[in-house]
Amino acid sequence: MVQGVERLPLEEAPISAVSQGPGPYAMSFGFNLDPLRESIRTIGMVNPPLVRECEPGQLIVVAGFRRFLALKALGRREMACRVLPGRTFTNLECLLLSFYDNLGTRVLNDVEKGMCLTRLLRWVPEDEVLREYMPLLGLPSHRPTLHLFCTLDQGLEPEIKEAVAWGRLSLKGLKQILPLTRTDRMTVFSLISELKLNINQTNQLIDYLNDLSQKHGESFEQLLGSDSIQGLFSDPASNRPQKARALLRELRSRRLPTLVAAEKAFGKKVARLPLPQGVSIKAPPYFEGPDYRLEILFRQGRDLREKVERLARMSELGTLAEPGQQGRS
Amino acid sequence: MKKPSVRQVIIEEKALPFPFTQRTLNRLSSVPVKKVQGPLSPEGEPSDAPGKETLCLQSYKGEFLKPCPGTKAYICCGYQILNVGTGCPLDCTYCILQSYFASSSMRVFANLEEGVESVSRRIDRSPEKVFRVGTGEFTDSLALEPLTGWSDLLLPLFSEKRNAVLELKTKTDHIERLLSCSYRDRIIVSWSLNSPWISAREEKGAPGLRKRLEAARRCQSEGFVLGFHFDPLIPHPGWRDDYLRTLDMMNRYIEPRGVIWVSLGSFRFMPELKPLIRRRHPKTCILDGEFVPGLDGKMRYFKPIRIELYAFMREHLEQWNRDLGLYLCMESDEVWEKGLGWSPSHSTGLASYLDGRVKHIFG
Repeated sequence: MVQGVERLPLEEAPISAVSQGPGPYAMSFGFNLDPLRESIRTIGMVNPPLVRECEPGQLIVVAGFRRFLALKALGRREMACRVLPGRTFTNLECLLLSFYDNLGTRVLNDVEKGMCLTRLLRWVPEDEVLREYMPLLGLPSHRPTLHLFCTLDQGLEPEIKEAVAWGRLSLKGLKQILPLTRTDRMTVFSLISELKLNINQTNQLIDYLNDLSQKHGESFEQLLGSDSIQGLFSDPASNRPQKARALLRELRSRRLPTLVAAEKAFGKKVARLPLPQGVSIKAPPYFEGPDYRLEILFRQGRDLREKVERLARMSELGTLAEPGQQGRS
Repeated sequence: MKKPSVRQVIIEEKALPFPFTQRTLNRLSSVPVKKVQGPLSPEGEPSDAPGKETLCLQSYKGEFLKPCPGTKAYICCGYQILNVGTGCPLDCTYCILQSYFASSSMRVFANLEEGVESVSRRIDRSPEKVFRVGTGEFTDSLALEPLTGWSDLLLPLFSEKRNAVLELKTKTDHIERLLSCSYRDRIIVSWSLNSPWISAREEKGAPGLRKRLEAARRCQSEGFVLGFHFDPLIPHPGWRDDYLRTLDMMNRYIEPRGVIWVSLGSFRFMPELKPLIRRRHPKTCILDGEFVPGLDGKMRYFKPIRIELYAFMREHLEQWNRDLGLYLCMESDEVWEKGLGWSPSHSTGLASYLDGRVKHIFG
């Protein structure tokens, strides 16, 4: 392992000589530069970046990419840094310098963890990454998890990456939308972001859209572009959570039309019954089990007796029935 | 139907001494064989179709005879599963085996001879009980027959039992070996049937319905008792007419008096199976229906849809013959009543009904 980097002399390097991209070692994504810029403006650079000469006169940041960006944002022309001598360090050693430097100083977001892992995989066998490095990142040594985090760094739309980095999209949500086509993924992602759907709502949304899309041969965009759904989005009387619930209700009624019709019919029947106050009747979930539930709220035994007697006299109760067999095409 | 295609045989070291292993290898003389020490592990094996071309011979450590894993929430037939192997060379989109086993390779148990001896003793210890035994739960009973010759071993054993029957449940037409055996008593050969549309689209690698029914007719004419299973029933566009086509074919090929039972079941699946089906069979229609969570945690069609399917099938099957031993697989008392017009009320009732069919047909 690399030792003695802290003993390297401090040098002044021109900012213009430093490569502008994050390069193969840096692992920073989705950060707010403002606090760091203010810190440097106020107290200066306490911990100078570490750079390496990749070509004569050309430097690349090994550790401290955000500090470099902050200096640049402040309009500085020079940067105090430590320069790793020529070919003394291998690529892997440089990467590990960056890795451990980050590990010791901050909490990495999920995209940054993905960046660490993809960079490590360039020079470290997968089994070793799983065994040695994933626990250091607070991740389980689990191959599918490794692959998921690598996907975060590679081949994912920048908007989605940013949402994951900022915690606006959970990893569970990401897993759900990853298998979709790019267009469908972006359609769903926009909805999740706009309606601030929670993970259960996200799962439900994707499940309904997948099923409907498969069954009717329509894209997500086409399904969501229908008048009835667009009407929900543009309803000025609904707030965001109401719109989210209305959307899921609408998709459910398209996905499970017979069930939803039966639920509505049952709800109407119950609503028409002159039930005493505090009495409710519920159907078994999905009408699958045989038992319906009658709930009576009461304060005293006398109150209970009166309600039970009223119920016993209600001939309409005999009309409550299972959802009938409906015609199928 | 061609012999199942096997590109590789993997033999667990412990499976080597069994004569079954040698007999199977003799039938696969041109296929590369890999021997492995220790128990076969599913890890690292692909779960997609290529795994189906790998045949693993292993020594099975578990119980060979197990009751069908029914649930209390629905009425179960009380079937006993004879575990001869797992996996299937066919690739039906709805197959539950896709999520049951980590490996998609076909595994056969080389110590079956030892296993069936203990099964035989167990059957003999309970002479008052009827054992309805089948091998078609974790594999197709006849799909691997040309390679394994299971019937050579099983038919003589069950034919001599007075309190057991063996049901060989299949979608294939691999009946030559069966027909060449002289045993008929206590053996039921059953075919899984569906509508022609479902059969053509969703039962990849399986012979068409006509071939299945031709095989059934041959078996019947050679003295075998037949069973039929419409499971899973799947509503699809034009499903009524399409299922009627199958019933019409049955009418043309099969003599109903030789049928011990016909079961009906609608498509159901553990929720974990859904993403697997979507990934492995992106064009399938089997997930299009209205599924709701059942009392056993499996997704199943909304109850009125199931009742309609069963009532339709019952009506038309009974037009063919009223004594078919019609029963439902894993359904509630209420669905029985509404779909078939009667109910055995509970699992014990259904088991008695089917035991009665066994006595009625085999005596």
